[in-house]
This record gives sequence, C-alpha cells and structure tokens, in this order.
Amino acid sequence: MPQRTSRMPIRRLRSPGTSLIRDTDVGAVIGFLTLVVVGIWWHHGGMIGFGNSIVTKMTALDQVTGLLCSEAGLLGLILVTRTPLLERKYGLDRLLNWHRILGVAMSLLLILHIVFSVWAWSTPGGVFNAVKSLTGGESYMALTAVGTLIVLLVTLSSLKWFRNQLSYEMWYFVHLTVYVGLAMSFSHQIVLGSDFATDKLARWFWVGIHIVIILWIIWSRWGSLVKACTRPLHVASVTHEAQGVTSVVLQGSHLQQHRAQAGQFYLLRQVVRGRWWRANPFSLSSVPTTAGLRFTIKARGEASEAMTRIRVGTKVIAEGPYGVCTPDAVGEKKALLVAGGVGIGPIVSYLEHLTPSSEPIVLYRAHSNKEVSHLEEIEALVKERNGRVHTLIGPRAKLKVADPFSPKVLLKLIPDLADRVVMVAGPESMVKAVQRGSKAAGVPSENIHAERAWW
Amino acid sequence: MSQNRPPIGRQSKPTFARQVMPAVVLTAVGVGFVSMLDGATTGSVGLTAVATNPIVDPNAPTTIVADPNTTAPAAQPTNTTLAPTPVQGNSAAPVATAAPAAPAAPATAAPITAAPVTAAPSNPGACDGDVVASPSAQFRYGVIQLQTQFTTANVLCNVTVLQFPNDRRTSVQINNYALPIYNQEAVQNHSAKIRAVSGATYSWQAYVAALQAVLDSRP
Repeated sequence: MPQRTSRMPIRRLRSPGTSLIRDTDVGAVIGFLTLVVVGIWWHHGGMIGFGNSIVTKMTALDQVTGLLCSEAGLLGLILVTRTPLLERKYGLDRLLNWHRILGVAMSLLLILHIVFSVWAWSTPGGVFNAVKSLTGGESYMALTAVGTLIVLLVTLSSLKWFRNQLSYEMWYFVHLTVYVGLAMSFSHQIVLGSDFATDKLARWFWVGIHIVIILWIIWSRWGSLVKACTRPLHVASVTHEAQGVTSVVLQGSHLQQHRAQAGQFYLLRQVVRGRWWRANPFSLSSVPTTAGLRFTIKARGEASEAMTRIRVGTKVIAEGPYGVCTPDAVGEKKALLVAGGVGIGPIVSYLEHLTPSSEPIVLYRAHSNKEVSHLEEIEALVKERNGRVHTLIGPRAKLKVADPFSPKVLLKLIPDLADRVVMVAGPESMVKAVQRGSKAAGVPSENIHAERAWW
Repeated sequence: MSQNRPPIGRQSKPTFARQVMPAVVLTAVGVGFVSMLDGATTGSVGLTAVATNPIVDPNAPTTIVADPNTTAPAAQPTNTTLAPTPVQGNSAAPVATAAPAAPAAPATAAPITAAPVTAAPSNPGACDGDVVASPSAQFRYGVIQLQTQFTTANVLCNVTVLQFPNDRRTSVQINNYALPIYNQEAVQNHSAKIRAVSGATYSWQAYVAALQAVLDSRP
C-alpha cells in the first residue's frame, strides 16, 4: 500500500522493551519448583518413608524420578511459550536450545521412572506381571503407557541424528503430538501417584500448576500466532541480490504497531497453499521502519528456496520479532562486525543502527564473488560512520592465511580489537572461529555477540 | 533515531536485594507449602472419607476384648492361609518374604489374611494387652478389616489383616504386597501414620480408615 506509507512519515519501529527478569529470578523459580516437588515427596516419606526392602526403595525412587520428570517437562513447556519476558532476556534460539536439553533430561528421567516402577511392581508377580499391570492392569495405565510412548518418540525424533533423517513436516507433526502424550500421562499421576492421590493440597498444587502452564501456552504461544494472523503483511518487493540471494520487503498497515530492532528475526509463513502451516526464521537485513521490513534470504533449503521465489503481493504472516543479538549491545563502544555469506543481512541492519562513534569495521567473508550482496550499501553506510570494510572472498583453501580469524591475523588488521564489541552472523563454524579468535585476542566474552544458527 | 530507548539485551546492574528477594520469597513460600502438606500420615482424604461416606460398617463388631490370659495364637484369625506361623514377640519376620506366597491365595473363598507382622517390641513380651477387631472398611474393591493388639500401656503393637478383597487376582496380588507394608508401618509408628504404597492407594484409604477407627475408640 504505497499510498498509505507515503502519507505517513517513515519512522523506525519502536524497540521492544527490556525484559524485567534477571537470571536470579529464573534460578529462583526453578529452585522453587524443585523444592516443592522434592518437598512433596520428602514430606510424604521420601526414601525412608516405609520399610527397608528393595521394593519400597524402588517405589520411593520411581516416585521421585516421576516427579522430576514432570518438572523437566513443565519447564520445557514454559520455554516454548515464547513468553516475551524470557525471550527478550535470552533470545528464542537459546530458549529452544534449553528446551531441547530439558526434553532429553525429561526422557532420561522417564526411562528411570519406568525402570524403577517395573522393579517395584515385579516383586509379587514377576516382571511380566508388572509390565502387564503397568500397561493396562491398573486404572489409567493403558492411557499412560501410550502417552509415555509418544513422549519418548518425540524426544527420539528430535535427537540430531533422527531429526536429520526426517522431513520437517514429519518432525513437526510428530512433535505436536507431545501435547497428547503429556495429557495422557497426566492421568496416572493424579490417580495412582500416592503423593497426589492421597494429599489434597499437593494434588491441587499439581493440577493448578498444569492449568497455569496450559493457559500460558494458549495465551502466549498460540495467542501470538493468532495475533500475527490477524495482521498479516504482504510482499512489497523482491530484489535479486546475488546468486541464490534475494531480498524481500514486507509491508502492511499494521507495521505502525510493530516493535522491532535491527538484528532481530521473524518467523515467516507464506499464506500459500501447502506452505501456510510452516514458519521459518529469517533475519532482518535493514533497520525495521514503518516503510517495511527487509529480509535477505539465501536459497539453502527447500523452505528458504521457496521464499526466494515468493511473488510480490503474497500475504505473509510474520511472528516475532525474536532474538536479543541487537546493536544495542555496542552501546558507546566501537564495533567489529563479522559477516559470513548470507549473515551479511543482519550485519547491514546493525550498521544502519550504529552511530559514527562506533567506527565500525566490517569483515565480510564469502565463498565467491557471485554470493556477495549488499556490498555497495555497506560501503556507503561504513563511510558515513568513519569505518571500513574488509572482504575475504574465495574458498578456504585459496585464502592467503590458513585461519583468517586467528587472533594474530585479527590483531594485525584491527589493532584496537580488544576495545571493540564483536558481533558475528553467519555459519556456525565461522561464528565459532570468530568467537575463539577474538577471545584469544583479548575481547571479553560478554562483548562477543552472536545469534546461534539453530535453523 | 534517539538512543535513549531501553536496549533489548542490556539491563542495568540489579541491586543485591533485587537479586536475592525472589529466591528468598519463593523459598519461604515453598517451605511453607510443603510443611502444610499432610505428610506421611493418615491424610485428610482417608479420614474425610470415613466421616462423609459410611464406609465403616456400623453393624460390624467393633471390639473384641480378649482375655488377657489367652495366649497369642488364640487371638489370631482362624482362616490363616498365607501366614504359616503367626509369631509374636521376638519375631521380626521380613514383610517382603511373606508376600511372594500371593499366587496361591485366590482359591480360598473365605476371608484370608495377609501375613501378620509383628514388630519386635523394645520390651519383649509386652504385646499382650487388648486385642481389638476393627470395623470393616468398605472401599471400591471390597472390604478391609483389621485386628489390632495393644500393649498393657495401650500402645499399638500388632496388626493383622482379617479380611481383604480376594475376588480378583490383581487385588490379591496388590494387597499381599501392600498390606504387610502397612502392617509394619502401623506397628512401627504405633499409629495410623502410614504412607501409601504406589498402586495400593484404595487399600491404603480403607486400611487407614479401619485402623483410625480402632485408635479413635481407644481411651
């Protein structure tokens, strides 16, 4: 809608606010939940509650592992609510990484829980009878057994090796079934788990905490999706930048209300048959303004390839913005920006945001000249800000130095490196090399910023 | 663009109080909550059930005061199928060893008993006071009735199970496993403060209700 934007003065979007929470708050909440969960178990007898036989010990262990397994699951669910409080503090990439770690922890505890339960139940009637009781004999256990299987399958499908074997669609829909699995397993906790079945207060706490988290997911996770759907953007322009690299500008009358910052990313879904259900992350490649959001996209996988072929006018649902790797991190300091390949996108947006006091130096690494994009734009931006650009183009074997990001090479090129804030965007191996190199060159690690390349 | 907007990733350094307060408050709440729980006790659930639902049969014989001179075996139930020799006093027969006899049980139609458990009293021979049968506690799967014995000082010192549901194999299995544990717990704690065994929660409720009814009837 060019008419509308031309009438309104173009301005930068407001920045998303700072999160109010601190690391210590997160620690306190995790500690609280653990205290209560283990406290319930301990108060009901713990390890020494009754008897000294192996059966009673196993029963106590199966209870505590079951409780901790649930706790890990609940914390993992909180992470995927994408609640702004947590997202603006840690960034979606880190939250999802912790979600993965908690998922694995939950499954390990789940396996222990199963082992201890079967052990405890097998004493009167043998292992076979124990398994029979625990998969159907007892009330709700058939339901629980199916739920358990689903949860374990979901975890398995998310392990790196299996994940790589699966198509995104397959993985995504398997992953969604985890809600069903968790709901099915919940029944036995209340009916058979003696900590909850026999203690009203504990039971209401447990039910309450589940209800709160369900509402939280509905409100925050699905609510933000609904909100994004009600104010879709559309493709205003598509520009071919380099081989396989395209920049796409999204506009919409609702942009006025967006809050976004350079360096952040959105989850974009094309409203096109066969693609609407699938969102992929793309970084902003210019400072977001009311005139539009620009994304620079490289065709790397099936989804990004489809995004480079998007047609002008296509509706796009943009969830976000997410990410905490923004040029705010530079503050009053000087900056070194390192881009690898399509990582140049976020670097351009950082540059636009920086002031001349940052004297930005840009290192641009690409495998071939054909891949280089936005170079003129960067040169102009850098010039305005008293900075300079170094390009490093060609396959690794043909470079003059073995490791272009070794501290020696970096310091020779940038003598005042230790005083600069380093921001990196690009493939994971390069990000790691830059982090290693600049740390060795004397940059404190809190001054090195990178978004994890998790997609 | 103005630079005074709050940055996303950077926060001002929090004060010490700001860092510590959440942990202190939540720890206090957590400890308070846990201490409010019922604990490894009878629990309000079981007792409320007794009060609101007439699961304790009022017509059942509530007390059988045995002749103090009667020897212990006479006070034992007659239909003992599982417990080979109910021993009194110095026997600390392990609970778990009595349980595996379970699969043999279902044949009997008459009420059967679980292995009677006798705690080793600190003062041998003291467990020779009143023998009291509990009311029958009815629950989802049947009836549990206990027989208790007290020391002359009115301390619970022995519990045996007179009746438990034996119409289902699972019931027999679960109860053969759980009831001896409850017996042991009750005698150890001299009260109805018993922790439920996983999978035997209904039995636990009935057991506690029956035992508590006896204890409440004692002076």
